[in-house]
Amino acid sequence: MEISERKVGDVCIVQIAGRLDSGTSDSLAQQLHRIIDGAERRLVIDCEKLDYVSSTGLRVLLVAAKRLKTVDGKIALSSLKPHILEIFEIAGFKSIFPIYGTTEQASQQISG
Amino acid sequence: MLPNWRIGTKLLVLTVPLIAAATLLATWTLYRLNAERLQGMLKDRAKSIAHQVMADRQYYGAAVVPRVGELKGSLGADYRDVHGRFPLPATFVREVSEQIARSGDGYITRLISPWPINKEMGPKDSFENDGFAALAHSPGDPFVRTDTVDGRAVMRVLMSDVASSTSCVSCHNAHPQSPKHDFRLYDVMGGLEVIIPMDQYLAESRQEMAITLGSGLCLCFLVLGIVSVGARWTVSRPLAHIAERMAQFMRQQPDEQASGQTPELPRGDEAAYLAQSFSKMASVIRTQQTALQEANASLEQRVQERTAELRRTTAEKERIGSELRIASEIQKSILPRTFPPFPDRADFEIYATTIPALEMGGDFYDFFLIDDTRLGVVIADVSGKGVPAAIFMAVSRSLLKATALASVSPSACLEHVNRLLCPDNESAMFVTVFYGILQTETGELEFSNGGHNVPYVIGDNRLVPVGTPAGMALGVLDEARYQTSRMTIHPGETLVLYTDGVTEAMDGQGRLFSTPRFEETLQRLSQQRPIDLLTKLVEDVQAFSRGAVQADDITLLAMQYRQPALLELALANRASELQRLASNLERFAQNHRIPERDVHALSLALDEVITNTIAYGYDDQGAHEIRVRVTLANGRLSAEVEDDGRPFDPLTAPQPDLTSAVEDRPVGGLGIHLVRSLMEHVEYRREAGNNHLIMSRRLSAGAQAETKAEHHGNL
Repeated sequence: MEISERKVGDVCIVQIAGRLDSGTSDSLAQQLHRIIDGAERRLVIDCEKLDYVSSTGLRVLLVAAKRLKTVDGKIALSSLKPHILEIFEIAGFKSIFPIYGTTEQASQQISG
Repeated sequence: MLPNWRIGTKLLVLTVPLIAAATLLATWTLYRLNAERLQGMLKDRAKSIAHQVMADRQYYGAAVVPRVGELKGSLGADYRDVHGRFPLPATFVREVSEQIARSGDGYITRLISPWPINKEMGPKDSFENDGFAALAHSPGDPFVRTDTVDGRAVMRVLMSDVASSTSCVSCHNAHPQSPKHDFRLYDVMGGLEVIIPMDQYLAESRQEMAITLGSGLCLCFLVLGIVSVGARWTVSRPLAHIAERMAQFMRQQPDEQASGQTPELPRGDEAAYLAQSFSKMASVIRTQQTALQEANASLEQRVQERTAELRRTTAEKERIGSELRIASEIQKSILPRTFPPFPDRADFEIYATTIPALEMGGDFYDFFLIDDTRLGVVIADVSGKGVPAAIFMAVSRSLLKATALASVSPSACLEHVNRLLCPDNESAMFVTVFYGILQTETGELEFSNGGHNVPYVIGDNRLVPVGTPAGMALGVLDEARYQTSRMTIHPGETLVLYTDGVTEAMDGQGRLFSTPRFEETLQRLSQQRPIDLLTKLVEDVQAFSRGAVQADDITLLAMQYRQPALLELALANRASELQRLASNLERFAQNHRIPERDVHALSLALDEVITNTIAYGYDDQGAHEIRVRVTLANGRLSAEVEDDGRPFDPLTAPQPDLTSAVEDRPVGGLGIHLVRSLMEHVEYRREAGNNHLIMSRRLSAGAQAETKAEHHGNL
């Protein structure tokens, strides 16, 4: 798994590539904590290159969403592959994470 | 009709009398005109002589006679003999006439009267009598007539002599010798006759006539000559030429009738000859035309008969052709044609094709599942072609399949079918058969060959003949025995069955596709899936034999053996092993063409279960083994996870909260929820101190339908 982040306006875009499973979730968890600790309040998780997500990965994203909620932050997902989207649906995450077709859409929606 | 003369001659014969008659007529007319003119001329001359004589007498009577009295003379005829006598006017006239007669022209003038004083001067012949009779009626018109006097032709004119003075009247009335004494002034007292000889003129006229006639006749002969020569040039020769050509034509007639009638070359009338030739030729042509018409009619009749026959034959052919097409369709429908035939089976893939040389083929292939783990494959070639072969093929195919499904060994199957085929095989047909049974779990192939071409197994680095040429064709010998042999087909390798129509396909020059070329092609295509392998192989063969007629049925069957649809893994209880599971699953899915959606679901489910086991399943920290067994069968993807951890039935886990807000949402329990959602069937067993979690899901229908459609598209 590879994680990269960039800033567009007040939005921090985190791109995850590869597998997000029990073996890789910890590094994502750490990076997200660091980003939120760094006072980022607007997060877009770019899933365009995300091939796999297990419940461990879901848990990391849920924890990040909870943290942001407490500080009035916002998180959104973008560019999910169909089988990844299916997992998010099954997990009931669609009511927690706004999901957008593109990173640009997601950024616009949560910006400001 | 005129005799058979030349046309020129005929023209002469016809024209000569005509021209001669015309000449004669012209001459005669000329002569007549001449004579009239002569008469007129002589008449005028006679009149003028008469006038002259009368004028002389008038003058004498008026100028001389009155003076006689003055001279005391007298008048009388005898004036020559009596002194003092003077000639009477009549005597004067007679003297003048004598003078004229003496001039030598032959002219005679005479004063005559019906009442002559001198008796010699009375009328003497009929002319004179007639003349005075005519003059009595019309004294002014001279009486004219041609006559003959002393043997000479003469012109005679009598003019009236009128009493022109009183002296004449008184003298005559008073003359003692006068027979008449009552003359009055202007009475006709007599007449002056003039005779002019005509014979000289007539001779001249005749001479003229002779000249005219002569020149007319000359002209006539000149014309005739020209006509004769002209006719020869303008008519005879062209006619003769035509006649010559016609004679030639007649001589060229093969007909006896015609050659017998070959006319002689023209001697007489060319036109008549031509007419004769024409009539002969017409008769020949008529005969030939009749013959031609008869031939035509007979030909037409034959054409009609042949056409009708052809139509019947064509209709018959069409009927047979259509029946053959139907039969061909039936025959094709006998063979399994739906590909993939076993869509649930991922452990092998089959494709087969047959291209009959005629409507009906003698080749056939077959494949069938004897049970879940045994696949039967057959290829066969019936001797001969066409309908008989097709019927024998249908029988053989049914017998083979029925026998094979009874689950006997390949050799037993061939022996059984052979025994069934032999006794009723009156037409001495036979069939070569290769029959193999694939053990789908192991790749072992049991096979028996009844005289058929040795098939091949092709793989990464090998091309292996399946057995050796052995066994006798079925239907030949009742007690024939067959061997069952075995070989192993490795996963990824393909068994290729074929008939000799492939290797013996010929190109335009009669060269064979040949076994070496076939093997070479197989090696080149060894990595292809069966459908692609056979499609390309057939293309190669057809490209090779382009332009040549397909001599034999071409039949091929390819069966690729896949890795058994089974994945067994023993994992250590470490998180890093999950990566190994994932990559193995991926390869397994690729090998068996499992849709991505299904393999992802299974992969995630196994991930969740095993992650859970590694994290929470053990009481100790020691090494444990987690066995995973994945199978693909009958369209179901299944997995069993076995571990020796403490008993744990994940199905007892409660349904997680999926609806509450983010701040209230529990972070656990999602793993088991995902497993139960992604797998249709989840089952837990605790057996012999181990946990067994069995789960399965049916392969996505959409993905399979797609695969099927692709195969149909290629058929």
